[in-house]
Amino acid sequence: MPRPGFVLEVDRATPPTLFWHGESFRLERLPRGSRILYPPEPLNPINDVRAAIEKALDNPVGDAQPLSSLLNANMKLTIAFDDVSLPLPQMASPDIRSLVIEAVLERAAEAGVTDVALIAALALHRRMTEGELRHALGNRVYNALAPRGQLTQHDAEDKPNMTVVGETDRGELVELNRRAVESDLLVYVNINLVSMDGGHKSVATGLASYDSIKFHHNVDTMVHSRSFMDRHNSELHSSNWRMGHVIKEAGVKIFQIETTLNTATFPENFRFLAKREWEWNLRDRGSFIASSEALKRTPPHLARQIFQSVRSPYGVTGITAGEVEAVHEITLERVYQQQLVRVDGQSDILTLGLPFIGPYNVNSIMNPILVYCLGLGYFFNMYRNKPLVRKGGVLIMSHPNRPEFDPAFHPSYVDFFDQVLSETTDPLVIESKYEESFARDPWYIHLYRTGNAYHGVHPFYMWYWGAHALDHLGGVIILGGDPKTTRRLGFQSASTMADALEMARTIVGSDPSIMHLHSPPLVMADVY
Amino acid sequence: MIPPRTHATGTNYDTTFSRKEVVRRVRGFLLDTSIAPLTRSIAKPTIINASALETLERPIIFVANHQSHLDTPLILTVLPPKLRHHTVVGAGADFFFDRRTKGFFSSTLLGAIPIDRVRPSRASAELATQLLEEGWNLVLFPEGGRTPDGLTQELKSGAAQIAIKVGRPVVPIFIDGTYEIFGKTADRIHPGSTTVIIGEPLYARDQERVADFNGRITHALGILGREAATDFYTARKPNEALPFPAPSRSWVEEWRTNAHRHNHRDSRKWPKLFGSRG
Repeated sequence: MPRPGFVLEVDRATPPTLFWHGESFRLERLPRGSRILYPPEPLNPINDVRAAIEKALDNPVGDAQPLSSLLNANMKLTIAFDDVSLPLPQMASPDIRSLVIEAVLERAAEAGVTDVALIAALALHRRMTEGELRHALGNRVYNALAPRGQLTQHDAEDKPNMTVVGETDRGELVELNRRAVESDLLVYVNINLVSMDGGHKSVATGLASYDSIKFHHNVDTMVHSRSFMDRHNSELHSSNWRMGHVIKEAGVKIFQIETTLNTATFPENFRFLAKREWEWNLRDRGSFIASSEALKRTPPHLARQIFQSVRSPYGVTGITAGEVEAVHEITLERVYQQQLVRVDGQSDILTLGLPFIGPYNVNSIMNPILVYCLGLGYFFNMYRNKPLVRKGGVLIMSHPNRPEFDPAFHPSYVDFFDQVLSETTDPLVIESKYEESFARDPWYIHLYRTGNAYHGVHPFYMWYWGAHALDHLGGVIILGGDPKTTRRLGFQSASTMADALEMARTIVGSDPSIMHLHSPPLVMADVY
Repeated sequence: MIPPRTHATGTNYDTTFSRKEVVRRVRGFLLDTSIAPLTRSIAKPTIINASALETLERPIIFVANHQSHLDTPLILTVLPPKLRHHTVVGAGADFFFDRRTKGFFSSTLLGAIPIDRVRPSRASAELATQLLEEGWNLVLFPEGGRTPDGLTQELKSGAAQIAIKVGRPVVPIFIDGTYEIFGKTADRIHPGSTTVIIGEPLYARDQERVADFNGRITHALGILGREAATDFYTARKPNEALPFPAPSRSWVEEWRTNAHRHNHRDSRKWPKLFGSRG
């Protein structure tokens, strides 16, 4: 029976706490009385995943029929799937998407469906490489469909192949991939790593155009998503749900398949990462010392490649298929069961260790804008009810925050950092003054469509992602961050935890309460 | 005067050293004593119409379908020594000659010469023509690359063009079975058996256009491919569907054909520190 998560109060006997620090680690001793939020242990996975997939396809939930009864030889079938941004790190082979898609294609082959299209639901993300597609889909799926042009990646800028489905009652445009909309059945295969994923967001965002996505990816929506990990209190999700209803009313038939994973994030040689520090045995201490000392002596680009090659031994905890909303409610319960921990009361200071990977730097560099987004966007929002830190509190996050960018994957980020952040860090000003020019820039659009670049507007969305945290916090300190780069983001840098806490005291007062969100693995706080 | 050192790769890689007499003899020795026996043990070839090779006189252009990296050693293995020791192989300049070490080993061990398969290249064509004129046999894979899915691909016309230019015969060779052993997507070699069918030499007719001659080569390879799947007589019946170009099959057939294959790669044991990402 896996142990639940809990909040530990630091006392004299508490060993130093492990912090992620990009591609390395830090051990920090937190002041007595600080609280540490420890994640629950990974839930027991399903033993026979293939059988569970078959069962889910045959017994859909909500107002849906079994998949086999929806398939016939003359139909147009489209299968869309989550892109490389999930899960993190990439899953050890076989990826759950490949198992689900194989089961769907097996049934489609039995029914003699020849008109099948597989679409990577990229939204405005970068196109996946062949290796990434093969990993996510498996060779059998790739070899059967890719050489025939039946495996494509969603192109939000391909206007002739987009179609307007309608508008919500609030005037939000719903413009989606034409093939998906015009299919007799759209099967969506998702991985719900965190509670933000899935539901109507899968299709309404994953297969949409910029003109449609901008209605919910904006500062106003993000500031009113409290948090965007809590679907019932997230304006981001409310907008997607309104769009989902428009899609349903337009007659687009969606068969949603959602999967959940446990938090078995790292392989055996990084076992110490998943254990609580006082439970480290001699081997764990040895591995920690060996890996952290080796990483200190490794050039950053090599350390990055070593970490990016990690394949996570995730276990599948659930597969649900059927009608979108009914499926998603079950999925959310499973995610919460794995990640949610009750916390009593907010703190003045929240500390975080930021890892080497986020959704947007798979096989790439975590640039400063992604550091900002991972800390203030993702980790800050891992809450339900109230943020872990009080209004006006301070966030201390640990990361080297080097001024490094991947010019192939993140070309517009370079210009965003140089041209936009040097002028202002105010999300509202950035949105009104600069977004349009980056979003419509023909060169960024060309790189997005033909290379492996994120869309020109993507760094803006990263900045908006942290807008709620910026609005809420009194200050942000990056522990161990490159000072010049950190200043460009509008934050302060500190070289030691003691310095960071001293700087934070000038904002929150002399005797602050401190909360540390322990990661890995992922944890979500239910704050009362 | 000492010539300046060059670091040319791709089609500019100079393979002259690999055709020097001493290198040719070393290559012949290695082919006879190591590469050919190893290839025979992995691919267990059944050669059909091997006698056609005995009567051939150098220089010859051999054209074959391309399923695997094993195709080159397999062809060199089935050729009789008198042809094998005087044969060069057209190899993708972007793959085999992208690094100088790769280029060195490819040209030394297999007699590879760089061919630009991305666009028609005058340098590649001139080198091939010159070598044929010097008496070297030439092996070409006119599909331009290994098949991604086991099906045959359209033939490019380079081989026909060179054959017309030098006036030498083209011998079609159909290879069946190397895709299963080490196809493009395979992560390791799965030893098995293969069939290699040797066709009759084809000569360009007087004033024949490149496209027409290429059509005849395609047709001849098609018949050999048919023969690999059936028998000599069935393959030559009129109106039989030929595998060149591959008849379009729906994904469903491909899906069923691949059901037995190992489809999930194991996770890498070591981080990939070099080469392209993804």
